[in-house]
Amino acid sequence: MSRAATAVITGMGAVASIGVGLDAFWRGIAAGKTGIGASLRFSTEAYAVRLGASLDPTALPPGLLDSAPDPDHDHAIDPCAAIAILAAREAVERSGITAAALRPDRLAIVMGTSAGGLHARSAYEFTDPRDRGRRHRLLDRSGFHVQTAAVADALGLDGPRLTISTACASSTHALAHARDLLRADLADAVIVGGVDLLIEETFAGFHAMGAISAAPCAPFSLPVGMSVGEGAGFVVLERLDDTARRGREPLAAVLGAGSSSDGHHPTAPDPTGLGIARALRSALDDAGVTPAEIGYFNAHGTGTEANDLAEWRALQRVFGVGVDALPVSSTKSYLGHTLGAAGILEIIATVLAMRRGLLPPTLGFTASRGHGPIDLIAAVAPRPAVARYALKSSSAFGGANAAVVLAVDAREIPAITASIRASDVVILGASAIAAHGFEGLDAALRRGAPLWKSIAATDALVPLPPVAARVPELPLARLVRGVDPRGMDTITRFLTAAAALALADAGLVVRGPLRDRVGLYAGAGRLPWDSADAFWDSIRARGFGRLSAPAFSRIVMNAAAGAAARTLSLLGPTSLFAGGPLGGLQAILAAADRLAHHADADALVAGAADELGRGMLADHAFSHPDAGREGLPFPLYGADHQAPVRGEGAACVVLARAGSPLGGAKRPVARVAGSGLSGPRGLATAIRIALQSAEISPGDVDAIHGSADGLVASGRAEIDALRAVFGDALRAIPLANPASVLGACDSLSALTTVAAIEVLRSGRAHPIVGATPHPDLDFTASTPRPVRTVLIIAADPAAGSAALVLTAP
Amino acid sequence: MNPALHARIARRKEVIARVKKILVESLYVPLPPDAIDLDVALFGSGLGLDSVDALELVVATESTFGVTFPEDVLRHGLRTVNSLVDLVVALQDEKAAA
Repeated sequence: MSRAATAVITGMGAVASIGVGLDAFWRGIAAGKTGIGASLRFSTEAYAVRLGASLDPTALPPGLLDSAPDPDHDHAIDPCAAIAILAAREAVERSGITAAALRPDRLAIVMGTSAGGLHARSAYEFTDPRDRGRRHRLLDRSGFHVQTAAVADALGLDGPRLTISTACASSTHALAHARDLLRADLADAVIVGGVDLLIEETFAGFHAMGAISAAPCAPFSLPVGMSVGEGAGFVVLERLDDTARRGREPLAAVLGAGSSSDGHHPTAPDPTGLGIARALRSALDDAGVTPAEIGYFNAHGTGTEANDLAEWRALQRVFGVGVDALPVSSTKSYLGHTLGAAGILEIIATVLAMRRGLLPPTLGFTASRGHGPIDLIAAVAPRPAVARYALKSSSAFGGANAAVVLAVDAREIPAITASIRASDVVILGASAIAAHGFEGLDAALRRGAPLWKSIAATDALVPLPPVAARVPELPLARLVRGVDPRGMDTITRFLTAAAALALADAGLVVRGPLRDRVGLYAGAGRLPWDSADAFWDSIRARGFGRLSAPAFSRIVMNAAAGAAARTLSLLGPTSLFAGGPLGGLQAILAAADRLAHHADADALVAGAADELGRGMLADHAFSHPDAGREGLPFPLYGADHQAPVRGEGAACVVLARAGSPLGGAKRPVARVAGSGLSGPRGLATAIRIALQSAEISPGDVDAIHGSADGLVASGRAEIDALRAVFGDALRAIPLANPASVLGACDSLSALTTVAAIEVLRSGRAHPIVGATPHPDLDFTASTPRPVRTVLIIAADPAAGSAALVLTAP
Repeated sequence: MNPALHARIARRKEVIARVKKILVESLYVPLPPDAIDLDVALFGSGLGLDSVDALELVVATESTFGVTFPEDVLRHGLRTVNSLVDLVVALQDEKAAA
């Protein structure tokens, strides 16, 4: 299913330092007022420079920013989600969409955030380790997708939920994914935006890097340096034909979107500008717009020398001699760097200005750096000028770049922008790293013996040594030629290994020009444990003012994906799905959709990685002390007993358009036949959409791969949805779930996908050995017919639901 | 051998081992400690440290050894492992003498 109507913005909402609410926000832009100042919500005495762009608490509902992420109250809302709700609600109200007119399950949310769960995670880190209950609840709340869920619940959105965390490019990436959801017809309106709070961890991290300017940041001007900010911005994105039916005039259109990986450095952009240029070209190509037609460039423009110079070089590459006449500015001189909210707030400022025949300026220009935009809009008020199209760029830690092309004039908004006819997408290879090691997944799952065991307690407070399924020692240097695992954190080693082995399985050698044409979409459940431990350990040992900058650079959600992209030269499109346990499957679905409708990549590696960090082990030993111990009922799909066993690992697949000529690649191992996404209550809906888009009926499914994690509610959610779709026929279809052997982990939805591909290769289903018999389910893999069609499912109470249908090639 | 000199060599060895530990564990230098050459440049093409790592190297070394580097250390004192170790030993001596 595909609907090519142009994606348009019909409502916007903003919460920023310069103003809360769209009107105040615009008044701030028009008045040339900067939000950067000295009043932050934490003491800045320990720091040499003390500026930031904080929200004005008097402009917000009382107490909104003070509310601690109180885990003792189930409905207490993290301030991060609270400001996102304000902005999202304003966008919805201004768009005029109403729940009455649209089905709630057709309202999706895509939220970008760089540090959405960090506020709760910080509270966890500074809670006495003996207070196990509070620590457990705070850890639950630190999931980035939990913030998205709070916004979705507050607004009554029951459709698909994506949480995008490509650090400072998050909300620009989010806008691209929102557009893809509309085209895939998985929603009728998408509430898309970004949010981040200015918390001390973030400020101290940038401070330790020496990146913060002593004056309010003035991108492309002297002095160099950034200012950190906070805020939330949301827009409502709809299809143009739907808004026409509603009799609404769109505010702007998103005509094209692109992304890329620098493959250069954990924090510094590729100084040649090649990485950013790839994202810009990809967005322009996607929009069918030439550089000469761009009338305004809204820069990422952080103010640091590294960013601004790389961005200028990228512009020179893309625009050639035309760059001299290109008006450029950075809205960060108003807002500071609002991280996950930066892209969307800057897009909102751009749209507000362009609709008035204006272009927003860069404030605070004092002196040229000797290089940089020729036509920098250095002023204290917007410049009267009409831009036909605007190009917006965002760049991030991990080397992620994203760009979008915007238009505001109705005459420049075509009815249809999707230029690529939907193509079939195939899977060329797959690989998984987990308790079984790095090879022999199929044999381990077929044997069915659980691979968890008692492991040494890492924490004096844990009563019994926990039982868990760990990844054995990984000979990464031997597995992947040219890879040096030393210096990598655990999650980076896992993801790099799984991605490299999947590419090897596909027979794909990524070198030469192919490097720009292969990308990486990754899912992640939590912050990387190793590096997060190093980060907060450095704060506990030395104080915020002297925390570890290298560790700070590694705690962004996309750090491992950025490092894997660098190591394996995957320089094409990239994104990071912080969907908790759903992230891996969301990444795979989005990658398939991207390949089907866009020409900017020939292949995408997609999957997820996670690790059993010391905090995770301690928490699990506390919550489920008897999990995995002998003599207890089997952990999966039980009716009353729950004792989920934790595992860890990474799983990746290599996707490509069917028939696309990829040097050396082997024959496909599977075909992506259909997929569906929905909200937390919508697993049955997601399955029906997936079957429908695969043009098959429930009776055509030969095997099902679940990803329930051992909690009773999680197993029941899968069983209820399957029963609703398959009825009595369900008991004749084998159900498998690799958690029965490998334990449950945040990568499980990707692991179960790779396991399903193994089943398609052999034609024989996997069993769940040792499961308590269930009247509606077949754990014995006893189907007489060869498996040619597999349904893969995943659901989470916060992240929503996903389903994927794969068939033999 | 002169016992004072012997003690001094032993102390220098210990400082070297701890500096290498910082390089590997806090700065993620992708080498085993034994393979870190004492005379290779810390920054740029040597061990590959960059500006993000510079401050961490100072802070981690200061915390480990309980010393405080002079202001101009980033410009002058941190060329190689050996020069960093010399600096730490000198600062420890100063501290002991004070």
